[in-house]
Amino acid sequence: MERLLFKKSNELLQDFFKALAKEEASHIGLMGGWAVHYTLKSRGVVHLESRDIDIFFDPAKIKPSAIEGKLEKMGFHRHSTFRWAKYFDSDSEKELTMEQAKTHPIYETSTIYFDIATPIKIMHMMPEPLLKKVFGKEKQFISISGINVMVPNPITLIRMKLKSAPERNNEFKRTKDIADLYALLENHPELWALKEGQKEKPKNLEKKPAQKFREKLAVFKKDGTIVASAAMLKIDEKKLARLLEKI
Amino acid sequence: MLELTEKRLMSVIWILENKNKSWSVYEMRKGTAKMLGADDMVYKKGTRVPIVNLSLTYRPVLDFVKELEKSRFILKDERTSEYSVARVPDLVKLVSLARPVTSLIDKAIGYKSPLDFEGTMRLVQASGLEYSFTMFAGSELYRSYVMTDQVHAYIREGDEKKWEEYLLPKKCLRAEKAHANIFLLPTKNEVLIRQARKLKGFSIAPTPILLSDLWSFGGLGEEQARFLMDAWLENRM
Repeated sequence: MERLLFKKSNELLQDFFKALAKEEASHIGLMGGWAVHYTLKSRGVVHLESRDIDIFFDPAKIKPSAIEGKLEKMGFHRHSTFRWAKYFDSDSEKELTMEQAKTHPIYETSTIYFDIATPIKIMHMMPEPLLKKVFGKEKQFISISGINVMVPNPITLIRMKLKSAPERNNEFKRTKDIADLYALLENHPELWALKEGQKEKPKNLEKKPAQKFREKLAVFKKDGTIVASAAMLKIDEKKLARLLEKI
Repeated sequence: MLELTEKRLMSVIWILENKNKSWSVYEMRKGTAKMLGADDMVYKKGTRVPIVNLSLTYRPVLDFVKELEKSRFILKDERTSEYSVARVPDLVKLVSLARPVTSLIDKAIGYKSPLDFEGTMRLVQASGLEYSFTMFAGSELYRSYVMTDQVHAYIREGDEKKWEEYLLPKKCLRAEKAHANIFLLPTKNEVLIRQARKLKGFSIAPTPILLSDLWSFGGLGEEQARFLMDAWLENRM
């Protein structure tokens, strides 16, 4: 079931961005786990895929209804506030209609979520203030199967993960956030202040979120999050913890 | 799944109670033996090198530590050879699986107190007998969350008669599970009484046991356990 989710999710995100008009491409971007995956892929690093698709857009340039229209056309259904969903039968991989999904056994249903974020608070969208900087300068364009996609730059992705990880109630998402954070920090040496050639401290991280993360890291070391993230990344727990302690 | 004998259970409780520190196997053996009320240090023959009471011999303890490490419940620092706990919630759940509170409650001695929840807790406290509150009676002292009149308390096995002699004159009647609001859980395990924590004048079961009992109870017990687990991990309990 996992493989299906990753494969379908990847296909759907590519379909979404492939269908964007040229003038939309600099106002609609990819964030979250897939942004981390492809950012690292652009550096030749193989990293974990993602189940959900997280995008963001500039509401000053693109109408929310335009985004919603695209998702409806792709067969997504409104799920909750800023979340859309698509349902599949886990065995046959066949897409389910909304009516079918309601009665389909839950253990045979795979769901892909599509979340939408904006830099400011607007109805039916998830507000993420860090996106204001992305629409400033803190973005980059990466190629996903030949499609040019806007993503937050690595330092902003790190800031986002630093912010989200301590707040997560969902165990899996918390574990994944930590794994993403580690992979970004480990594979972007240019974001570090060095001492005698060794990574000493990440540069340009705001004090308050870093402090909050450090406090939460003490809990993550005891509550199984570090163990689970290390297992996800297939690395030693101590290696993971030692890097994160430098934040 | 890891098998939890009584001694292993005590080791796990010690590990959880010392969740904020790293420790050597020797330290853990010594600490657990002390919790069990075993004799204090003895020395290796002809030396001043202390060893722990032989009731917790080295080999079984080391084997257990290795099993915990293999399952990543604890991690070893290669530099210091000391261990620290890495999966506190999962260890608590392991305890809850090994000793689900519902089976303890089935064997509990039930009484019906005419008093309300707080009154019943004060009644138990005023007994002068040793006890430790668990379940909602234990957890409500940390966070008031559940509407209940049920008071669960561990008592020393062998003290059942003393409790009867205390409670009956206080107009508490013997009651079946469906009618009881006092559940006395007799235990041979000294740690549940000796390691009780004092809070607002009441004795509460060691936190790992309290959380494990709540967790295995399910429903609101599990909800309370989740909340208290976060607070405990953040050292706010």
